[in-house]
Amino acid sequence: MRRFILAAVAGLFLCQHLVSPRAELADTDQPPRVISLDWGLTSTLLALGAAVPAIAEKKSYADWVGDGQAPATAVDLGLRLAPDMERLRELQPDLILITPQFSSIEPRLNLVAKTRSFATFTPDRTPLANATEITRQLGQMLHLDHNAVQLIAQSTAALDALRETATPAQKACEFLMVNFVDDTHVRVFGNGSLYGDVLKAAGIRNAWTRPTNFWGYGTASLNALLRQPEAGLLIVGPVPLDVQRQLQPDRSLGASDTLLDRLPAVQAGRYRVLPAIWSFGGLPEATALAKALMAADLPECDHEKS
Amino acid sequence: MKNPEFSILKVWPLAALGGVLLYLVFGNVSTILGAPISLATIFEAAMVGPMGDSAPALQFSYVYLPQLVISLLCGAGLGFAGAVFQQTLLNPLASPATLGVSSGAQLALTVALLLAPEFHANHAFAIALTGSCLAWGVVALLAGRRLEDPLTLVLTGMIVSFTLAAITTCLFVLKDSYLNSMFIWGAGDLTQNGWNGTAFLLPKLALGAIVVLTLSRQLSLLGLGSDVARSAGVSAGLSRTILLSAAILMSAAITATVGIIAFVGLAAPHIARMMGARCVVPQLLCAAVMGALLLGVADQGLQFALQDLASFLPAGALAGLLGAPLLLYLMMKMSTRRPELDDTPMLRAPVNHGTAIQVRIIAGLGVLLVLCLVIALSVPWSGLDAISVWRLPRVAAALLAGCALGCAGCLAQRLIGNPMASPESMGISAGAITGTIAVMLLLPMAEAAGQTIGALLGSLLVFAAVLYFGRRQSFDPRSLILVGIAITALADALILVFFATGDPRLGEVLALSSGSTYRITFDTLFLPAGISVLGLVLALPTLRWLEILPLGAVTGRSLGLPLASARFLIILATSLLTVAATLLIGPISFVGLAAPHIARALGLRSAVTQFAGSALAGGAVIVFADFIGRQMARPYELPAGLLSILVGAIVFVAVLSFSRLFCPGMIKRQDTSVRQGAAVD
Repeated sequence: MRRFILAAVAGLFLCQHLVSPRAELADTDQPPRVISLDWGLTSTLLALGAAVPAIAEKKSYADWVGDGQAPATAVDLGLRLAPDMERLRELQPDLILITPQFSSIEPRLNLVAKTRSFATFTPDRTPLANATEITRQLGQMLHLDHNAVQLIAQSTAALDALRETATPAQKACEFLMVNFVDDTHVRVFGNGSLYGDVLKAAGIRNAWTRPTNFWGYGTASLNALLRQPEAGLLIVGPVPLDVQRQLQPDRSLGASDTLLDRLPAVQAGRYRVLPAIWSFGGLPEATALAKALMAADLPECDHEKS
Repeated sequence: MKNPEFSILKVWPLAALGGVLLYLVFGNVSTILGAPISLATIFEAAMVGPMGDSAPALQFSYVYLPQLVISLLCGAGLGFAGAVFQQTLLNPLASPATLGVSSGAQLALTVALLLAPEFHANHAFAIALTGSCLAWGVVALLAGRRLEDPLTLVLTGMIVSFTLAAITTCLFVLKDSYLNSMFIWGAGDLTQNGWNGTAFLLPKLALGAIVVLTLSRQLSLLGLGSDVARSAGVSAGLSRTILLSAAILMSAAITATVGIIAFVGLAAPHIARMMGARCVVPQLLCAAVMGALLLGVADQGLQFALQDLASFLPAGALAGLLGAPLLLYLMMKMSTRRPELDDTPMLRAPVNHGTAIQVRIIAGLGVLLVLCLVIALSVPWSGLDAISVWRLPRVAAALLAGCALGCAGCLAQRLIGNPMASPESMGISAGAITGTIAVMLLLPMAEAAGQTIGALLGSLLVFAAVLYFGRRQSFDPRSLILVGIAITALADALILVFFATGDPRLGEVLALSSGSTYRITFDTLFLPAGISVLGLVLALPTLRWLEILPLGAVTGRSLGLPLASARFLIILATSLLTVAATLLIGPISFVGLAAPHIARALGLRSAVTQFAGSALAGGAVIVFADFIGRQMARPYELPAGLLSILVGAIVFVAVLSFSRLFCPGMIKRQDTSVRQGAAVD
């Protein structure tokens, strides 16, 4: 009896191994028809030049991630965390791409097609390295290896350029990378965020050392920025309207005396406003951020210490 | 302001809270400035203004001080406005939050942020005021001539408030990336970055307070009933409109500045009254002081306890943690009053049908339910196998949850002879979801079974607490709802605290509490189905007793009812049914309250027929809501729990106005209940 059970278990393992997506996909010549539910993966697929038959929350994707690169023919799948299963099934994908954040709906997705999970954000907090590896794997899977190599080379070049052009005075500076939620709250990007990794790769110092969440950012009140008065401020878009107003140099509409324009970095002009870049994205977003930092011409620090 | 009823004994909460506030302020200021300081230094700093550009000085004069002032101002304004609401409407449960005024402001601001961000940034107050006024207009319109009946008004307010909040949450679900700022704002965060908020808020609050204080004579006469006011030569309609407008203005200004702060507006006037403030002006001022202290202590206490982390934890949500136990304690001290059955007009069936007609009504409801099931399963047609894989488990879950909630609501209302009782309004659903989340967080390895036990324990605990506190008030509808609100506020505060810590399990908890059937498969259906069958089996033999229980304990005992064991069985059955429903569609739904009323309004008055009728009605509402949620914004899924509030509210209002039209007898009774409502205070 015990032998029988053991044999059955071994058989089960073998079967599982045989039908694992990797084994099956490697055999076919045609690139598989792939649908991604995660915006970061979708953006990488588009950058690789792959076919994207469907996007979850298509309109929001265009507003937050894609700059008009998404094909008009792509079908809207509905909410990312609750895609329309019946519509997904009609599209007959060979493979559904997700991240670990989708694991609670994975059993349901498995009924439609095989799913494969790619994690940009992992407990070891290396999103940039993960994004590079994911780009390579996606290229392999979709028979677009050449494009993947090119994409990775572009990203490396942008980071190298940023590192090499930064002056010593810029490198002496510590920066806080923030995104304004409203005029009193910011998300500060630290170690383990995609932005943080880009700074690290370019040799620019990140001033935020306090705890961050799984995605490497912390939500904080504006006054948390007072802890590092000597740090420069990198503001990633989108910037809320009232923050834009408080940052404007000419205050013809009466003096609005707020903490924001009293911040040492703002008073000394040690801040730059960067365009909106999806912070949960992949390699294309990292490249875009490196280019934006190049274009922004980082402020210099003249303080003596450190 | 010499009031003989103000004795030292009753004023102790004020003095104690004041002392705590002072202590916390001293502690916080010395932490910020890095040195022990005296009152004189604080005063000097506040008067002279910015003390230079050093970080501690900026922190003190641009963040700490404005936040302290705004917390006191908002608390005072909410307490004051709440007292005006309660006095004007003769209703101890009235407050901006319970009457839908805050939800109206929130919905208006959310819609404005989505459609016209620039307009939102420039005219937040106008938007909040418009939303508040519209919401109050809808409440007044629906309550109609029964505006002065406390229960009708609060019930209507709850419907409108739930409905508007459900629409807002639907927008959050659909457009979350655009509404990040609304999440922080919605939790009532008091963080300031200068004096703009104070400068904005102060004139509006002052204007409202001046209007109200000028009309204080009219206000005290209105508190005696509109007949008394009229006979004293006061135009009840006009002065009520002006007073309520002033209160709405104040609450809209506060909502626009710092977001939704639950509970303070409801609790502060109660505490003021319980402390013995009887006349109008002392009562208003006492409520204002009490509100300021509640919010001030909550906010300062957070900063004191958590130092840096305080920015993550919104004080508005946490005011509930402080106010709820205080309200419960004071309620236990309050004098008890035996409610009259006539006090609750909705308890009675408007029409007395014979058995044959009742059976036909039930059959009609059954046909309706089957129709809903057929539509939900087959529209749009997509092949048999797709339907059985994708739709069948979801429709089955919706059916199960709806029937279980309908049954639980009917049991709860009959058990304590109270038309406002329901799993949702008594906080039993909140207890179930809190238990589930607690198990999920404390015992990460626990599977569904462990979470179910947590949910059951949570709901039983809340039910026991509600009964313990409610019993002292002889299950008076008003105090029962107050206890329910207090317990729900506690549970909500705990959940919000968890959200604010940014735990990665947030998504799971959100999915649980927003109530979607999306993830349900046949495998996950078994456990809730088993629990609800168990609940049903326990409930069926008690139906006989439920005929007698609403008549009161004395009648029950004299008819030979095994009172203690009957109550225990019914409580257990209600909890089991609630847990099953909560596991399937989450804690937010309106069906447990509405379904028994729908059944009653249709003329099902005996316990057995009402029980069957509310099960069928509840099932139909949630099955239909789930269908709408899948199809309305396809491919975007809206949670069934949220939509069941919308569908339930529409059906409920329709049935109520239908029965009111055809049974004018119900309206005549309002006169008696108004007197009694006034007598409570």
